[in-house]
Amino acid sequence: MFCDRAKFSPRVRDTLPMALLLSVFYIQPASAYVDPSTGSYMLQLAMGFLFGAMFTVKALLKRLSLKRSVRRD
Amino acid sequence: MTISQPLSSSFRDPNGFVFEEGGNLYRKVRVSYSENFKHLTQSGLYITLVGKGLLVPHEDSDIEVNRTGSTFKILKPARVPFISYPYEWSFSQLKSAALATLRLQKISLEYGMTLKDASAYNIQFFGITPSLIDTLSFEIYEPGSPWVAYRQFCQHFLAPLALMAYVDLRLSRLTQSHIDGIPLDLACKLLPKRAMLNGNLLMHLFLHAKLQSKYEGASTNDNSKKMPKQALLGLIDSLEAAILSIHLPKCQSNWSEYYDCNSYSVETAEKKLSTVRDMLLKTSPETVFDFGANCGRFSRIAAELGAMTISLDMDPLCVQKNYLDAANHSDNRILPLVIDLTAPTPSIGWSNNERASLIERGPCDTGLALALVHHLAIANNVPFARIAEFFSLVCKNLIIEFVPKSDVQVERLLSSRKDVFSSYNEENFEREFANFFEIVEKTPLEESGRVLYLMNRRTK
Repeated sequence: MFCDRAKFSPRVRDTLPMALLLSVFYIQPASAYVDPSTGSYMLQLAMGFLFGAMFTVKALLKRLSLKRSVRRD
Repeated sequence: MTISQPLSSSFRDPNGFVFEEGGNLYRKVRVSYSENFKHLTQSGLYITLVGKGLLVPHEDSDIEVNRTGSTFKILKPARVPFISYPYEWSFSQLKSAALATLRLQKISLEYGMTLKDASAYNIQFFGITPSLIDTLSFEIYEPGSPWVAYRQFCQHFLAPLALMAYVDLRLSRLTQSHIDGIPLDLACKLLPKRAMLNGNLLMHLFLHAKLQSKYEGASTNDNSKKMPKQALLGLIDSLEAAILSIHLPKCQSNWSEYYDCNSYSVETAEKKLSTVRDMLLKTSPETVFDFGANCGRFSRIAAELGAMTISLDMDPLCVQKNYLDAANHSDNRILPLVIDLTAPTPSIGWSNNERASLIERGPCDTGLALALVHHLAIANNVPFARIAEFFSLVCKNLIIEFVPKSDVQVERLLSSRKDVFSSYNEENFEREFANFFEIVEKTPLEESGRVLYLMNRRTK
């Protein structure tokens, strides 16, 4: 599964995100009778690392700016 | 007494349903939801959300009904002043509702719960304030699980907002034909390629649509993959950034500047304002529908007098302006909605009665139909009899302005078409309306030739 980064070779790991981004140009219509939740689930898992990293960085920056403002006071 | 039938819109959740009894609204909570309900109330989440205005409050009800074994509780939720639907909201209303949903999810996670759905229909406006009305939308958060409502959120909020901003405001009406939100593949087909330059849209719409089509038909039985809570919070942050990054381009409609360029002199405009206020005072309404409200000048008079005012207009930009004005003044007595009177909101959804039509949500105490009748009669060829009949269905009292053919605005309407409206005159107007209403008062607006009427609906 592409979300399990540890299982990929470095080459695949480097090219996969770009391939995914490029692939959005070729969107196929989804069949209405199929529950399309699987794709949503996969996207969340795939991007989970990115979301988590973004959140952690944001929380760190927030904490840093809080510390600074406390020191100034 | 046995519990009444669930409301026609309340049947999808197996954990409970809403029913009406003696004019009051109740929610039955089934035993299957008891653990979640206890967590909601005992963790402090319920109090926090109600305190922030994000969740509709309820009280435990001791209504005497036959509580079967499956009943855990019967709640009496606060009543929403007027039920409205996403396809009737302006861009900013939908955006506010989206941000409220994400805030709800974020706070829920702090208390160990998550939203199991993100339907725009679960959000209702108390004036300008969006609140969640479905108390049963929360479930205990299972560590490692992704957000089950992610797809629904994108379909109900992100896709229509992106379409309104990048393509056309009127595309919000697509949500009327797609009751569970706009399919992402359709949204991506309609959006211009430049929408991909927005990284958040690229991920949550384009890539999302791509993966939906890639995995259609596949199952998600693989439970070995987990999504850490940090990642889930990051997802909510990213969705919030996506919603905040969508802005309407600056544009102006034919109607949004109407008050600044109409045919009234200053004196006539003032006389109209004072006459409408006097007529409203005579009917002392609790609810007002302002039909063709434009940016809501007269709606504000009704709201000032204490009436819950539903401000209807077909122009999404006017409704947008009206909502932002109301929001700037924290005016919770006005609810602006995009509704075209020539094709008012129909009842739709399951069995054609899941979402109510405009007429089913009436009647209001007093209707305002100012500077409107000529648009209906001349621009849209609706005879006076039909106009009168429609208003008699949606309001008990009516304040209506007759605009004569000599008026500049009517002349403008007739300038590009043949005048086939020989019966368009004051006499016929009064005669046709008298079949449905009793004319209580008639006030000419001086030199304009326009006339304001106060009418009471005839009892059948």
